Amino acid sequence: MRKRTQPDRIISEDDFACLVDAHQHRLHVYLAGLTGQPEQAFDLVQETFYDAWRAACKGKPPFVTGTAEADIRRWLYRVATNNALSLLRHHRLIHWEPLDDHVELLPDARTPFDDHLAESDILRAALARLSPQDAVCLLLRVVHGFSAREVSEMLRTSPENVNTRLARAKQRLRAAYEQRLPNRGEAPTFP
Amino acid sequence: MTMNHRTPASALTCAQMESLLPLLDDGENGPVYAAALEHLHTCARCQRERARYAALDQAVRERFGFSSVRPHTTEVIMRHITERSEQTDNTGTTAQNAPHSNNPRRPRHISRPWLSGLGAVAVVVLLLGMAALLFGGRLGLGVGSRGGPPRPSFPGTHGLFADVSMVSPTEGWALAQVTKTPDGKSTPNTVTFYHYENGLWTPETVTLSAAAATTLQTGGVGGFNGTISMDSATDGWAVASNYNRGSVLFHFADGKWQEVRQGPPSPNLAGIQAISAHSVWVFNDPYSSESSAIFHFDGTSWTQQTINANLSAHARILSLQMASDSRGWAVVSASGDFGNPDYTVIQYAGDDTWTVHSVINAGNLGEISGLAMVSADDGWAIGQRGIDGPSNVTAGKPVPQVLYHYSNGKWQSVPLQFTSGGAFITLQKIVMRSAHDGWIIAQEQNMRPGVTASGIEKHTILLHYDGSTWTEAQTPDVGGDASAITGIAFAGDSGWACGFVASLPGGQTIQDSDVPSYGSPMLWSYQNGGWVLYQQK
Repeated sequence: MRKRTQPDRIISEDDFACLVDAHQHRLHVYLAGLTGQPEQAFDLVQETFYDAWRAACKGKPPFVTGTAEADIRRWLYRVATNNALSLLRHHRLIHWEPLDDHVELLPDARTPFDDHLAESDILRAALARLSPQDAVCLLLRVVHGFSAREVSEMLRTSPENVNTRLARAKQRLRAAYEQRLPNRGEAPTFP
Repeated sequence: MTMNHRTPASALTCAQMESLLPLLDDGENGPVYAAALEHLHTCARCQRERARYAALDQAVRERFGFSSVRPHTTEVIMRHITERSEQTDNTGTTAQNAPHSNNPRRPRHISRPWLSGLGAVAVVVLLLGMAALLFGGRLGLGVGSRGGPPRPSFPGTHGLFADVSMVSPTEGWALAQVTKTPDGKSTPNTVTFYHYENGLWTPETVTLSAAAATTLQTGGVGGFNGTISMDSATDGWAVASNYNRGSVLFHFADGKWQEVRQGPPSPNLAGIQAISAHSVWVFNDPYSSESSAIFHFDGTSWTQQTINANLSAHARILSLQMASDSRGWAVVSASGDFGNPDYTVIQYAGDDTWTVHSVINAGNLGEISGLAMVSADDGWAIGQRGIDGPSNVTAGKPVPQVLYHYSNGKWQSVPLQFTSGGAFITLQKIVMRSAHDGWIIAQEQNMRPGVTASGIEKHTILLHYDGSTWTEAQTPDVGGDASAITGIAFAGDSGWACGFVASLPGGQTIQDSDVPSYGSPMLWSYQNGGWVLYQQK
């Protein structure tokens, strides 16, 4: 993000747009992973930045001049996580995978691209079976590089609880992943 | 698997390593991790296990660390933000502090590509074609999908009903969000209460305070919901919310509806029920981040109830039902864990205290969402059961409904049969008027190629219980691509059901967020044992 030059503590609209530029793609990747719905993730990204905008309008930290980039990032992921968890709880009564994710409908002649799709699909399904909080811990720790303490602050729990959830998530994910691959007559990618 | 499975001389055993191995590559440190690394040096089995977790981490990063979908342009996001802010500015909440623009942005275009690359498009086309072949026999318009132009109760009015409450067969109120009136006027920052009297439903608009308007906009345009409960013709309460992003409390007294600024100490309320002017009950929205809590209003002040049950910090109260000031029940997900099949039914024990009534074991992947008790010895609970398996197995499969009956001191599953409609049916609400008269609001959602969870094409099925079986009731033809009943209330031999009916121009797939703009409030009247569509003259 470019240097902010406003004399007051409220960041400018241009600076805010830079902030959107800097974070929106990774946020979308995170939310699409968590919800399994890229379109829904777009809405959640917008919702998160709208919340950020409202905070910025009121001059609330971390959306004031001179704030560390990491603080802004943590804030955005925390709000995005809360938005996503709310949505998942509301929409869990009907959870359909998009039809265009149906790798089973692909022709039998498998190419490496097909293999990748199949493997991705197994992981997606395995992740969908985790509790949302466990999935949050997994994605934030493993994919997005947050520490256990940072995640615990986002989820308002202890770092120990985050690690417990993370360990459980990995164990379940691994069990589902390893169980399914051999059933499809393919060699697991694990060593 | 053959392993060199020996316990090394370090402080940790292989069994103790089980919970540490998944975490060893996540940058954690401390004495226990140092001991784990020491163990690793001498244990081939744990080394292999660690390598498997490392490979899993890598697979997870590859699968969930990138997106093949191009992001929105920053202009699109900024335009969304500023447009919504302008709506809020009209309420006066943020105008004075909005970040100043050095260079006002003008969006050049709106781009929301679904997939990138012609190859991906070709795959989608192939998949949709094959899906059409596979599912063609049962796709398209099912019984619940009425089709044809919507038949609204209030032609020209856009919006939706959230709930209805009857005072008597001749008087009642319904809570609605109206976005446009028949004369074409937009009505932002309002909620509308429809009053039924002398055979007519008449809208009464309440203008929201700036704070309430912000609260009801926060969740976007598609999530308006709420409950309304009248304890008499002169006193009633309502809670409106937008998804679970905060709630606004209303009180009807002195002949008018007003916002309540000093309500219970919670910003996320749901499920209000008024027994009398001195006995009002409400609980925290189960899908908010608030801790589970029940509040009681005695006419003067709100008191949080003590729940003597083993509830975790994540417990969620899903449904509350008061039969009188001294008798009531609620169903709670005590652990708050989606995977825990045990749901606790609690009952009011007097003196602001609730105790455990019973536990419903919903079975593997079972979830309870609603409760209706006739008495302490007789009650019903509804929900659904998830399907286990990877997405290529579960996608497109209907989620089974679950129905439990409490009698003779235990909860037992009761099978449900649907004679019409498609297979994609979820149970939304249950109301028991007596042991021999009950209603379930069920939602049938059709499935067709290209329609996913974000697209809706749904219609309501009403189930009636006559004391022995649950059967589908005849419902009116309301037209439209999507319709829903969201609330139901009875008084004497008559009753009302409320909701919305909607279509999009050009046969586009309607989504939840379209309903306030393209939907119309809809009412059904229960007369002489049947439901008819109410249409305002």
